[in-house]
Amino acid sequence: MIERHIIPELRRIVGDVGLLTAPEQLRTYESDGLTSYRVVPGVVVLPASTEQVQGIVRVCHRERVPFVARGSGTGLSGGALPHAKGVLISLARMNKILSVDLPNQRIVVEPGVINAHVTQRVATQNYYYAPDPSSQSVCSIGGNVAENSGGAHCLKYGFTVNHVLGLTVVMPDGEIVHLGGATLDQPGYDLPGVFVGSEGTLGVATEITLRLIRKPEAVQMIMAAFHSTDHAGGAVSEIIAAGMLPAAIEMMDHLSIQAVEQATHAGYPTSAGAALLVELDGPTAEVDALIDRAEEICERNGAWQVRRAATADERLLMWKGRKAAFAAMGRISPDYYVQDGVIPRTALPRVLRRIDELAEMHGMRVANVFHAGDGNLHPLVLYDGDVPGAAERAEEVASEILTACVDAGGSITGEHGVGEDKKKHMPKMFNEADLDTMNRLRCAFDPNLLSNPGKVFPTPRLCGERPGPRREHPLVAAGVAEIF
Amino acid sequence: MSDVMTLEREVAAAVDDWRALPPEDDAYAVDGIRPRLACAPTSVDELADAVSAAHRAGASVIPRGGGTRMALGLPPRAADLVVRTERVDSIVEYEPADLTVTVQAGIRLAVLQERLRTEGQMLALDPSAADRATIGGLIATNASGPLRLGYGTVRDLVIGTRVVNADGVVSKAGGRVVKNVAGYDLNKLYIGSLGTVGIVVELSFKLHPLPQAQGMVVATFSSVEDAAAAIGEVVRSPLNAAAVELLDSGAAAVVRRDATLPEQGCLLVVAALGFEAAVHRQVRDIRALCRAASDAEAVLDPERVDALWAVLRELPDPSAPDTALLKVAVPSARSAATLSRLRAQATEAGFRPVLLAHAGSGVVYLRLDYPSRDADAAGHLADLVNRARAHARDQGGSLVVEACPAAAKPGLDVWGPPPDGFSVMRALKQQLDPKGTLNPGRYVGGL
Repeated sequence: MIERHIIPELRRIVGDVGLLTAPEQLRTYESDGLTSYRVVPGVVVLPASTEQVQGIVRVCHRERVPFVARGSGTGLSGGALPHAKGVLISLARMNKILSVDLPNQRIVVEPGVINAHVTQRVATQNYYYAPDPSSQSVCSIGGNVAENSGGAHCLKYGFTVNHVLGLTVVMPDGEIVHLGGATLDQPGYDLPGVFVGSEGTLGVATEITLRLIRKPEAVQMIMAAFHSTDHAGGAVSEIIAAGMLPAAIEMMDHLSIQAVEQATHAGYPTSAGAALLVELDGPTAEVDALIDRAEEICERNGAWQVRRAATADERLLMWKGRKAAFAAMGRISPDYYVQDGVIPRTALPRVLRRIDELAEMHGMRVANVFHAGDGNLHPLVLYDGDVPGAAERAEEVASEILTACVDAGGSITGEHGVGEDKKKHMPKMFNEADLDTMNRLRCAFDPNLLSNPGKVFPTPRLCGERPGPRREHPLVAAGVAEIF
Repeated sequence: MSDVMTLEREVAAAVDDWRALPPEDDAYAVDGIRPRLACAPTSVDELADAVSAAHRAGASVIPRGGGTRMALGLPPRAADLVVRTERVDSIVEYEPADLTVTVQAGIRLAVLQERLRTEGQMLALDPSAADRATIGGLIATNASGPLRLGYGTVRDLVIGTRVVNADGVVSKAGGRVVKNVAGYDLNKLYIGSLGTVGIVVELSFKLHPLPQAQGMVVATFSSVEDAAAAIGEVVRSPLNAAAVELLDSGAAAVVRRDATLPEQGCLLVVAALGFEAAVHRQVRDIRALCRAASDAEAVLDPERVDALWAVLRELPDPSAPDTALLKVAVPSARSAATLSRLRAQATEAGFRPVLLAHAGSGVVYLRLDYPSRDADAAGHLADLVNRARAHARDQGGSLVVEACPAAAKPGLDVWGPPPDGFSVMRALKQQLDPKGTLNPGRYVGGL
């Protein structure tokens, strides 16, 4: 339970409309997009302004109450998992676009603004916001900032961090700071750069300045069907080797195609062992010349069907299949557990074979959907939650897949974040010295460890604690401090 | 200030190649402050041992790469041990098919580019002095060049780092894959941090294919307003210019010794990179966009394109002697107007300025010949810096003095007032270098 006495104070800050305390209301917030972790928050507040966020955080700081910021709750790593004794700060009401500056290609938004709404706002003037996670129709910019979200087009256009220029942040002690801004190369440490992707552990962003991009003159897309992922992988390598930088290269394996086609009827060939989507954008002269070459390369690598989207609608339908892939798994399995490992592109055939082996060894099915251009895998381990032990076995398989990714020189997460879910895997990539350096960064922002505590780091540490065998901190032993 | 005997003993035990610097030796001086020892480790471990030795002895460390950007920053509070990185310079891993490379920090940019070129690839970074500058130094100073419009800057290219922390412990962040959100992105912290929170010793980058073709449109304008209109057209168009560079008459004279620009005139250079057919079309369209406002425009002869790139890259060279180099950042649409204003301010102050704007990015360089023999030079420069900075800050921008003679530094603030968020920066320095071992005092706000 939360300390009851702070509730009247929170009510004064956000009003009745911004405060939720009834158990059935609180339960709505018990998990994010990763529903296997559930914690009912102590209280939920829905501030409407930076000042209200500041007021809430000041109370938390004074009372040493942990807080967790939440956007749309679509995250897939449990990053917005609430704290039972803490305050959950939903930014959903802070959903205004504050200013648009097209000559300088900037837009300033509140954190609750939906990703797709940014592009919608400037689309008629031929601009757009590049990062496009599959959940873009519902996920929030604040959540994208926390997770450094990617999407299908980050092969060419980069991630959220490459598109955030400035942030207004309520620091964990309640101070309001402006990091970065509308101009480039500002003197001092790149604080927006470290804040983006910090998974809510360094403070709460309440205003975000984003970079807008001119819409490309032309976009062309092909879908190619192959007998196997090896063949499709060969085509990917050759496209890259030819010096092309496609806007996106996406691959789906046989099982994924089955699910997606049943769910969306996007026209994917269901007998294919693998399907490849290749999208090129840029000046018309370039795109027209290169899409022909991409087709040739697919055919040379064994594609038995290559279809080119003739219209924008056809292209969107091809994308719809891909972007709905996770949801479509419901057609072939009651439950799934998705991972987000990354590997060097050249390790693709090796790691896919390893995933097959693991699936067979554990008697599980694994569907593979991935950003093939940048080596970001999304293996979906399928299971039936009603079968005792199945969820645990799915997690076991997923964990071994991550080990295979790291062994191949990759990463445990490409875009979903570490959060609650993958913190135990962090030591696969980082040793004590690495984690200690990261913890020092955190302590510079949040010395009392109140902002989304318990996430990202495998072992909680207080500030000033040195790495080594874990001992009880003297402040904890004395009852003066508590590790959340 | 540490006990010199202790430091010597510690360093001698840690590094094979070290020497005490004679008191009159200026080779490693930073803003006139002479370090006492210099060492040149040949491995990451040895470099870490050197830092650890200095840390134990309570001494300060001046990291040094190719030495091309040592004029950046405030004068150090102390300078005991120079740690040279140039011999930690190997290519650790290069897998062309992955478009990634991992290198040690001491490798020179030009050497790396030569290796990448054999595979038809490049690191999309084109700062000045690439033949002398080390990768580590370029990262520490966040150096960039004209290509930043098309490819971004260091922060868009670095995917992993290994650093020697202030206490000599080696730690890493990021990785060797292009997409990775595991743990804090400390890479961003090290970029442009002037080695004050760790010495970067190894870096992984994402690479780009070498463009098959390049084309340049060169247009002259009798007024900056006309140039601004053309820049707007180009930037708003979907033509994907890789670089949009605006030069004042001073800089145009450097480009073309025969330049006959009027005093208020300027020269616009727009570059397109990519596949042959596409570049041909882009150049034609860019030329048409410029035509409306320019006095004369032309597609540059292909054989002169490389030479012009080189001039554009080297114009803002911070290592030129008796030079002051100011970098001003403003909203990108204000680039041309800012160039014009800075030119007027510099001329009024009695300098002969050379100005170059990365006009698609809002970054304007102002280069001045610094008259060292003139007793009033420092005062004039300080006045100009204050006025130019006020102009930049009025637009939400900033000004950094990237280089100037040591004699001019006491009178001016090279970084400007501490930025918003400075309390966090101070806390970061305190967390990562509590003893003030690394480049003490040189960074923003005297960190």
